[in-house]
Amino acid sequence: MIELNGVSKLYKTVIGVNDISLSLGAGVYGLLGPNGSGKTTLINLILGQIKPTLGTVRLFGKNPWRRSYLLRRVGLCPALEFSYPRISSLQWVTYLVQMHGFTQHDAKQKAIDALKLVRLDHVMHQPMTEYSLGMRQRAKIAQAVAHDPELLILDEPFNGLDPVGRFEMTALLRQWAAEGKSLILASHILHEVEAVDPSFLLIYGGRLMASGSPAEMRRILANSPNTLSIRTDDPSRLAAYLTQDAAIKNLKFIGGDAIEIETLSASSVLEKLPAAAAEAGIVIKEVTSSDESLKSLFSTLMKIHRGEIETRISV
Amino acid sequence: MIHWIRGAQATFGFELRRSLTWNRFLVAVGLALFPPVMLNVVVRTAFVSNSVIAAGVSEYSVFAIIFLVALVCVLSLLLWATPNVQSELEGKTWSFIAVRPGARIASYLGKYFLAVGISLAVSCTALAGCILVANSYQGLENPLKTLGQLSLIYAMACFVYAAIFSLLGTIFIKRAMVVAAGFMIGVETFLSLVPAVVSKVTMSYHLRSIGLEWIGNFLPETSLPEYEMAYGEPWPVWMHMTCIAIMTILALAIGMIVITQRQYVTSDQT
Repeated sequence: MIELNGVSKLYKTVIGVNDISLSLGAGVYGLLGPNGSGKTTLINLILGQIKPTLGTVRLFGKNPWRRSYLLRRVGLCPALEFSYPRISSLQWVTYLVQMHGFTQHDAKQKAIDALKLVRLDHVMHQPMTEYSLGMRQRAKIAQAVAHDPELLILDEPFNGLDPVGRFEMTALLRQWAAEGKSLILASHILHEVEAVDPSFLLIYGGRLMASGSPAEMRRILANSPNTLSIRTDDPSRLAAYLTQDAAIKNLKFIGGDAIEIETLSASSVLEKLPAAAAEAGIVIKEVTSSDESLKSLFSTLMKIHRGEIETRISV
Repeated sequence: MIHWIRGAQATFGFELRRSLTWNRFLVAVGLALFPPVMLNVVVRTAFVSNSVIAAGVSEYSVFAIIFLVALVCVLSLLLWATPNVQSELEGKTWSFIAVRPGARIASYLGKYFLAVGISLAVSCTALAGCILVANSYQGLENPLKTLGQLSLIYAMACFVYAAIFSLLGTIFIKRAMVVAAGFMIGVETFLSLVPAVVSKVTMSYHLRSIGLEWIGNFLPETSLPEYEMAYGEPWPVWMHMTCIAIMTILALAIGMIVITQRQYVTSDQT
């Protein structure tokens, strides 16, 4: 479906994406990266909106640059916020569907169906300026799905959504994936993407740092250098038990009931905890990872990429 | 091709609906009323103050009409045709439109025809008002014929200048209106008045020549023989029309190529 070979994009002296090679078949993908990591540039390259400085891009087997007919098969929901005074979501979505070459009648029907799908049909005649951020986000999704594309690309679709909106959005995307259609979900928040159970593409500093299934990502997270905080009834004994593991780089006692462990592989430490509880009778009350944030993971992956730290995992 | 036509129709309709606001309506009415009001003020003042000046004003009324309406026509085209890409990029709506098959060209054409339509409506209204005013003072020989001929000339002007301004809008995103205004002053005003072959590349030369052919001499302080001495033997009207048509098609075609080739990215998309 999508193939990139050694793709780099420079904006004058700023690198948008740097030497990305990947091949994606039909499926559900989570494009994860902090803000400014190159996600939107990558999407624009895939859709032929910008031309790579180096490398080649293929969408459905063809170079998307100047082949806008390929876009008939794609729906995009950009992250951008916009405002059309006095224009209703029905008028806006109808207009954008018409741009696909549909007659006004067909376009209007498709727009109504799409707005029903995102549960905006009750306000579809109201001006979009009267919508909440979440409602505008749903209208943006509607314009992306209205022409029934094979591939849906969503850039930060959870922005501005309240918890109910996030739940509904997740359900909608799961339904989309369940129908066998392809989806690329770009976000900087891991758990939002994780909810749709995609294969992950981790992008940072314009580089594709890692890719894989959710299980592989969990393995990367577990096997990456990490900092764990463990609350226990006997920190000293637990520390003694765990320091037998060579993967531990540093260990600190926090307060009277916790230890903080810097480790090269969180999984090797976590695997020992049940044994510590069973064999040594140590009560483990709580285990948290202070490095769960995506930024920290990317920072780690970047260090691995540069060869600054060793790891037992391949990325 | 069908994508372009349907897309252009959709853009025309959508943009027209967007523009149906009191603000924009009042701007259009203001533009349309400016020339007849100005003409009325000038002629009335001249008539009241001095009968000699009044005779002069009567003599120059067609030129005054053409000058005032041209000003309004160009202003309207600057407002409507030039920001064709800029408005989408600034409004952050470009990404929604550009990811549709052929939508860049469809949007470009739709906005072009809307700019032509609105500017022509404004110009013709202003023209009708001016001719009414002029006719009420001095009695034009054949006001309806003059209105028809001038309307046709303004229609040609709207088509060609909208195409040129739209092209400039695709090339100079942030300063398109300034560049277009500079083009009108530098090329279409000063260059077109240069008594040399170079003036023939300007559209105002061709429009002026059609006017001279149809309406007769409307240029103040210049006789037709003098004009012909400076600018050469007059061409037949169809040749001027062909030049205008070629320029319109050329500007539109180049604009379509530019809009499909350029990598437009909004500032917060990196």
